[in-house]
Order: sequence, then structure tokens, then C-alpha cells
Amino acid sequence: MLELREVVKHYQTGNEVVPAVDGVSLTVEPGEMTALFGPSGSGKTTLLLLAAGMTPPDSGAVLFKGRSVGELSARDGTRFRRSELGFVLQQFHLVPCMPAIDNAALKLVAEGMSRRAARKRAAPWLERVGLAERREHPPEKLSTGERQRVAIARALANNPGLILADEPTGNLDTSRAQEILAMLADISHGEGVAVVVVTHDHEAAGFADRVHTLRDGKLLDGTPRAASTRPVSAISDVG
Amino acid sequence: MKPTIPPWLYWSWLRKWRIQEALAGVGIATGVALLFAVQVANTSVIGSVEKLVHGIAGSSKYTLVARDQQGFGEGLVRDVQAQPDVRAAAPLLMARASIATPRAHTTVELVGVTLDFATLSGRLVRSFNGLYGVRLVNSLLLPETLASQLGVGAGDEMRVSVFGREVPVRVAAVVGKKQVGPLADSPVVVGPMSFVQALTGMKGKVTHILVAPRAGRDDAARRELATVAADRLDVVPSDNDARLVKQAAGPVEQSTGMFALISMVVGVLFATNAMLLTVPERRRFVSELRMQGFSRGQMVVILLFAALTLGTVASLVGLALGDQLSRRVFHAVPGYLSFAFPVGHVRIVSFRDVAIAFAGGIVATLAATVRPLADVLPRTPSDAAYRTSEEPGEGVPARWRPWMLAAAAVLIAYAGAVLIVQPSWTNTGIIALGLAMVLVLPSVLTGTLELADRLSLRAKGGLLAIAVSELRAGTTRAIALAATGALAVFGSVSIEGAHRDLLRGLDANQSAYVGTADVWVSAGGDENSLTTTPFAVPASLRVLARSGVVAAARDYRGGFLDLDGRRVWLVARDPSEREPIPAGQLVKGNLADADAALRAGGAAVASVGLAKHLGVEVGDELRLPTPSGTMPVRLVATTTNLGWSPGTILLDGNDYRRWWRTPDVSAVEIDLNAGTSPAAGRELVRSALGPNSVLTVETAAQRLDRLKRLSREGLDRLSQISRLMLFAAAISMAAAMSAAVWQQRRRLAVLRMQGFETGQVWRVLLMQSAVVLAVGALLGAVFGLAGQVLATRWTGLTTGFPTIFSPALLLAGLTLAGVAVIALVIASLPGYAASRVSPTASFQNQ
Ligand SMILES: Nc1ncnc2c1ncn2[C@@H]1O[C@H](COP(=O)(O)OP(=O)(O)O)[C@@H](O)[C@H]1O
Ligand SMILES: [Mg+2]
Repeated sequence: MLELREVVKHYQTGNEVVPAVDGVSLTVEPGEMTALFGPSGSGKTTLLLLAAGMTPPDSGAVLFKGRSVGELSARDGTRFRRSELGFVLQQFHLVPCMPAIDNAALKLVAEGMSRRAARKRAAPWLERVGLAERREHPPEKLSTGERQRVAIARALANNPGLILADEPTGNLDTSRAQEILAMLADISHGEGVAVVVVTHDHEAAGFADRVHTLRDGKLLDGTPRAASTRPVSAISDVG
Repeated sequence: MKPTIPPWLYWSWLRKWRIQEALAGVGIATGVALLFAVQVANTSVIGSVEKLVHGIAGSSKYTLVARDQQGFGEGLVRDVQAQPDVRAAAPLLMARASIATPRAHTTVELVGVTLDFATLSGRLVRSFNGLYGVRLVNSLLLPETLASQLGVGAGDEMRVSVFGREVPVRVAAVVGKKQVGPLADSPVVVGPMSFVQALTGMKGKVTHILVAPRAGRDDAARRELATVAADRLDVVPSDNDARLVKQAAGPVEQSTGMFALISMVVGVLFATNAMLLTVPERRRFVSELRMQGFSRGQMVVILLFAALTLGTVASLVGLALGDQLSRRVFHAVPGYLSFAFPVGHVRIVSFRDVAIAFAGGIVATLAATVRPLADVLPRTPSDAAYRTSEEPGEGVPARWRPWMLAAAAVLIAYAGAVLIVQPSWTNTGIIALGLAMVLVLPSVLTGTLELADRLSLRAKGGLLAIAVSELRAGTTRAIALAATGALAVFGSVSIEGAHRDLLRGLDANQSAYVGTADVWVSAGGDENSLTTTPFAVPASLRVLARSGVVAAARDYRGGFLDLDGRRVWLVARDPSEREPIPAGQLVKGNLADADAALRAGGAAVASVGLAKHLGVEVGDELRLPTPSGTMPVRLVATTTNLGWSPGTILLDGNDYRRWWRTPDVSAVEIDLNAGTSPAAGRELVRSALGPNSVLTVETAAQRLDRLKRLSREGLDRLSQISRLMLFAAAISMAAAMSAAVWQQRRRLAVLRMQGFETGQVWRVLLMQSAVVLAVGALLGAVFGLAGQVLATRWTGLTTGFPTIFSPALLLAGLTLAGVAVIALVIASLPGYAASRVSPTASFQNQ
């Protein structure tokens, strides 16, 4: 589904060149959750941006369903994100003062669907993340864990092929974090979606089918794990 | 705390938020500029007359003044000089004249003086004395400003016309500040007495005698002068004209001042807007400092320092702007005052004006910064740090809204009550209305958002729903923005609506005034719009009247009469006039009875304000100081002031001729025969007068046009203020909206990340702006129409001008649309730029 081949991305700041992503090759399959570890500044976010086609690689290829997303025009990039991707971010980034259901329906509205229809389509997803009761609550009236669940519903609402999660548990306490990780893993398996979770929270390893570690822009290892062998609730400290 | 700390902290704040700070500054500067410019314009009018009056009066204390423009015999000077308590006395002959050169023409005060002036130390006199008799034979002395305006120098010729005669005269010398001080800027022309007497056709006559009493003998001298005057002349303090012009300019000054104040309030709101843009950041700044151990007292000092610095800089910029404004926009002298006073083209900036405008700016800044100051109040530092009242959607707490609506209802009721019960307080009613509008605004905005939310469920309203949510998230800012627009439109519709009502009233009045004849013959031009300049009726005109070529010719007499501190306008129509009392202007009394009484003689009609000032009612006796002594007349009716705010008196023509002891007229009204067109009639009269006549012959329509133009000129400042205010508001709203949009970019990036196209994001932004603008402008227009009722009433009352109220619906609509469109167009550009934000921005934490 998603394939990165020898992808390189350097940032130039002043005279200094930062090799944010330095020759990474990676494959992500549908129905799998991939965890990407690495300390702060190791290039995790940059890798997600590359995967989302939001920044072009300096060299190498980024393929989604066999199609290159490395050099998308602004318009095609927008369409791509709208139809194929879902995002879950550390800051939630929900629209303030907007009911949970409308927040979940956001991408459908972007597609041009009427508000009423979009809300109808998003409702099952809100139910899926356990927020059916809170559909009319704006983010300000939700707990942080609930906010992240709205974000997950929003990511799912357009039936994406790939969900990119950047530090989704960074703002949550441990038990809330586990709930969210378990939910993402569950979704990847249940809906057949590819999920990439970028984090420096090692507990994520316990939920992931594959685990990679990034350091200074380079991938250290690529350990595939069979989904079936991992109990969803298990806690592991793979590094 | 070291004294360098507050500046240093403010400096570090400015480094990050200079644009927002500058925006706040611009708002304040705009308000200061308007206030200052209006003040300067007002001060200049009075100041220019004061300069002239003091320059001429010199050390004299009293002046004997003729009660008409015909003056009195110069022999009286000897009598005055002979009085035991008079130290010195000098005669003057003063007359309004117009001067024409190939380059320009203007109205001046023509002054004839004698050697006696040496005994009084007026600025004019000191230098004049040295030149007297050497170069001033049959020529005139000009101050330099006037000379350069006319484009003449010593030795050049110019045409002087006075009392319907025109004569070529040479310029003897041009004098500057060094010789005549402030008079160098005055519209005054000086010549030897005998020459000026010849020019004016007033052989052996003078109009004023300036008197300096002996030391400590003021009262005694005044009594002696009164005896000499024998109720044929007035004895007045020498600065009398300065007082009279102050009185005459007062009402219009009051209205312009009031409206400048309204625009100042709009400026404050603009500044508040800009401040609100950075409220969360300012909060964080304050709480961080508090955590670092700054005490509450220290924080107050730091914030006050910041506010005062901003206020000072903004006020200084405002003063500079206002200075330019007063030079370039408000420079025109209100024409109506020059009908009766020698108003010059001087711009006078008084310390008082500077101080008022500056203080206004500082107060405005402090008012706009109370919000962050209030944040300092929490007792413990952690309160300041963790208080979350700026959470999205806060705005005005819902539980306050009913109270605000109740307060608004009370204020509106007050405005209504004032209008009915106490009209002289309607200015407070206008302020109450503005306040009420601001109070209902949060509820209206919330309601509108609710409505838009519902609507977005019906239509294909996904984008609208986002716009509504964004607005709810920044309600405080949206309210402030809408309030700015609302107040600007409110102010503008009230002011401009009242202005139009005034003009409508004046037009109707003037049309009745000139409509009594088909063709008018008078002396001079614009300066004689009140028809007060006397002239002798040429024999040719009498012949024409008898010939039957025209249907009728009637004498019109009029002038000014200084009565109890006011320069009153006299109108005396011929007894054969069909309608000597303009029916439309009648306030009290029966028209037919008053008409009959006026024709019978010994009766007068006075404007209602003047009657009140003099304390007389219809039926009471009124005492008129005429050149043949004080005459008692009966007040038979009251009218509006016919457009002359110091007051108006209507008399019968025969009474006037008798009491003013002159066959001269100030106009001849001519009725044409049926079938003669006004234009043809005018040519008839012109050819009868002959090519050498300098009398002005106009059709009623021409004369009406002139009067309309002049009343528009006189009241134009109201329009200028309202236009400037709108312009400032549109710009300020656009600026504040742009800044708000720019700060919203991170959230826009999220929309972009979710797959919204830039066009969709832009539309969301436009909808946000449109909702805010629509609410603000619509509310402003609605309240503005109510404000117009009050403002018309108030300006009508203060100026005493006739007004005709007609709701300025079209104006309100256009103003509303204009402001909304301008602000929307301006704000759409940064909106467009912001909508192109990169979606990656949402990945960056902080
Ligand atoms: N837009 C950018 N410009 C310059 N340098 C950047 C930019 N984005 C990231 N970097 C640098 O690239 C490196 C990797 O950043 P990032 O991908 O954000 O790491 P992580 O998400 O693992 O913390 C860091 O050194 C960061 O400073
Ligand atoms: Mg990161």
C-alpha cells in the first residue's frame, strides 16, 4: 500500500544542512499497524509528511498504491489527503466550538457533501470510537482522550487507506494513551486500514504489527511481527 | 524594580507584537486626529476675528459703534475727546468691501483711520502712523497674507467695491508681521480716513470711535460715553466683535465638537479591537512575569508604562495627522460667518486644542488597555497563569446577556424620553443609543450565529458551519469588530442624516426667502448673502419700475443689529410684499394676525431662540436699539432663526426706513410680467441698470443656488466628519480582521490538512468576515436611523436652524453596504493569502 524507497529529505537552515530523513526504505500494508519510534528530532514527523505527499523527497520514491505521491501538485495533494488519508495528531487540531459530529464529518464537507449528509455519514464512526452520546459536544466540553477519539473518527470518516498518527498519545495520560493505541490497532485490523503511528512512547510497540526505530534520519531495524501473535492489550518494551 | 525594567519589558513585547501594537496605535491616532482637526478649525474661525479686533482696538477700552452701516457725523469725535474721563479717542470708518484683482477676489474689512490713532497703541496704528501722509494718498495698505492671496504688491492696482460702487485703487504698501503683528494674517485693508470716506461715499461720516479712558476712570468714562451716544449709538467693550463671533459660531462648533467626539469613541473601539487580538498572549506575558515574582503593583506599573508609551506615540501621530487634516480638509472658513464678521484665513493652533486632543488620546489608550490590567487583579500568580476565561466561545458570558439587554432597553427608553420630555438633552440620548447598541450586540451576534448554524443544516452549508464555529471560538473579537462597524455606521448615519435634515430645512427656508420675487438686485456677492449691504437705488431702476415693463419692484431693507450680545439679522420687507413672514418658518403666533400687525407698524417677529434669550413672549414688548433711538415694538410671532443662528428679527419696511433714517435699500425685489421668463427679466433689469453698474442682478433660482451652495459649505464639516469616520472605521475593521485572520492560520492549516482546497478555506474566511460585518453594519444602520431622529432634533435645537426630518433610509442602506463591502474587499486579500497556508503548519507543535 505505502512504499518508501531510499527516501532522502534534507533541510537547509542557514549554512547547516539537517539530514531529517536519510535513505529510508519502508513498506506499510493494509490491515497493519506500524509503530515508528525515535527520539525527538530523529525525523519521524518528516517521514510522515513525506508519506502524506505534503513535502517532496530530495531523492528516492514515495509510492501509494503503486502511484508516486512524491511530486503532487498542490491541488492533487489536497485531493489525495482528502480521499486516501486520515490524520491523528498530538494537538488533536479539532475545530473549536464545533460539535464532535461536525468535526468528525469535516473531510466529507471538504469533498463537497452537504453538512446534513456528512453528519449522517460520520455518525457510525463516532459510534465506533464510543462517542455516540457526545456527538453534539464541542471539543471544549470533551476530555483530552475524547478529543483524540473524535480526531480518530474524523480520520476514518472518508474510509481512508492510510492513517498517519503523529504522537497521538503525547498529550494523554497512560491509560488514555493505551485506549487510543488499542483503538488504532483495532481499527487497522478491523477496517483493513494501514496505520502508521509515530511516537516516542514505547508502549505503542505492544499494539503494533511492525516496529521501526528511526535515529538521525536512518532506520535502525525493521522487525515484522505477526498480528495474530500479539495480544492487543499486551505491554512490551521493545526499543 | 529598576526604572529601566518597564521599558525593557515593553521593548521585548514590541519585538514580537509590533504590528498588533501599531494597529492599536492607528486607532487612537485616528480619533485624536479628527478631534484635533475639528478643534483647530473651530479655534481658527474665532481666533482670526479676535486677532483683527484686538489688533485694531489696541489699548482702547470702549468703542462707540453706529447702529447701522451709514455711520454718524465725525464731529462727534471732538465731543468724545472733550469728555473729562477720556484720555484718548480715535474715529474709525469700517465697511465690508470686496477687492478684485486679475488673480482673485475676496471680502475684506475696509478701515479708514486718522492721525488720532497715534494716541492709541493698536498694532495697526503704530506702523501705519509712520507711513501716513507719505505714501497713503488715495491708496491703501495691505497686510502680506492678503496681498499674496490677491497677488498684488506695492504700487499695483486693484478694484475695490463697496456699497454698490466700484473704484480702482493703488496699493500703497504691504505690511508684515514685523509692522502689524498678528494683523498680518487678517482680511483688513487700511487707508486714510478721507480716502475711505470717499470710497464708501460716506463724506464726513465714521462708524466707530475707539476710546481709552483715563486710568481708573473706566466707569465714569463709560457713563460719559453713554450720554454722548444719546441712544443713537452703542457703547460696547472694544472686543465686542470677538464676543459676538464666539456667540455666532458657538452652535455649529458644538455640533462639530460633539460629532468629533463620537468619532473619537469609534477610534477607541478600534484600538480596543487591536488590543483584543493579543489578549491571550498578553495574559500569558503577564502571568509569566507574575510567576517570575513580579508583584501586582509592579505589573500595574509595567502595563501602565506600556499603555502610556503607546498612548503618547499614537497621540503625537494623531496630532500630526490632525494638523494635516485641518490644513487640507477642514481649511474652508464656514462661509455663513463671513456674512457678518471679518473672518480671515488663518489657522490658529491653540495650546488648549493640543492639550485636549493629546489627553483624549491618552485616556483612549488607557480605556483600551483595561482588559490586560484587569488580568493583574487575581490574588495569586497561579490564578493568572491557569485562569481559562479566554477559552474559546467565552465572549460575553451567557448569563450576562439578559442583563445587558435589560440595560439596553432602559437606555433606549431614556433616549425616547429625552426626545419627548427634555429635547435639550438629546445629545445624551444619542450616546445612550450608541451604548444600547453595543449592549445588544453580543445577543444579536449570538442569535445570528445560531441562525446561521441552523441554516447550514438546510443548505449545503458545511463551510458556513465551520465559519460559525470559528466565530464562536473568537466571540470577543467578533463582538469588538462588529461593535466598531456598528458604531461607525451608527455615528455616520446619525450625523449625515441630521446634516441632510438640516440642509433640507435650510433649503425650504431659503427657497421661501428668495421666492418672494422673480429677480433680485443686490450689492456684492457671497459675502452679502444675507442681503445686508446698503446701496442707493439707481434712478434707472425706479424708471424701469414705473415703465410697466416689469410688474412690480419692491424695496428690501435689512442689516445687522447688535442686540444683547448677539449680532441679529434684520429683514424688513416692503409693505406691499405678499408674504413678509415665511409661513413655513412660523413657530408661535397666528400668521394672518402677525402679518397684519407687521404691516400696521410697531411690531416685530423674532426667532424663537432670540426671543427666549431676551426673555420675551409673543405679545410682549421688545426694545430695539435703532439709529434713531431705542424703539419699543410688539412681538407678534416667533419663527425659526431662518438659518442665522444668533437670531433674526422681521420688521416692516416703513418702520425700518424711518428708524434707520435712510432711503438706501439692501435689495430690490422685482416681479416680472406674466410671459417674461426669469432669464429674460434679468437681462431687462441688467440693461436698464447699464454696463457701469456693479449691482448684482440674479433670478430667484440663481440666488437660491448661491444660498444653497453657501449653506452646504457652512455645514460641510459635518459631512466630512462622518465620511472620515466611516473611512477610518472601514480601514480599522479591515485591519483588525486581517490581523485576526492571520492569527487563525494554524487552524486554517488543519483545514488544509483535512483536504480543504484553498478556495474553500478562503470562503470560510469570507463568510466569517461577512457575518461580523453584516451584524455590525446592520445594527449600526438601524440604530443610526433612530440616532438621526435625536441628532436632527439636537442640531436643530443648538443651531436653531429649521430642519425637516426624513429618515435617511437610502443613506443608511448605502452606508451599511459601503462599509461592509470596503472592509470585506480589503480583508479578503489577507484572507486569500492566509488560505494558502501550507497544511504542514499543523504538524508543527507551537
Ligand atoms: N521545516 C524544517 N526546516 C528545517 N529543519 C527542519 C524542518 N522540519 C524539521 N526540521 C529538522 O529536521 C529534523 C527532524 O525533524 P522532525 O521530523 O520534526 O523530527 P521528530 O518528528 O522526530 O521530532 C530536526 O532536526 C528538525 O529540526
Ligand atoms: Mg515530530
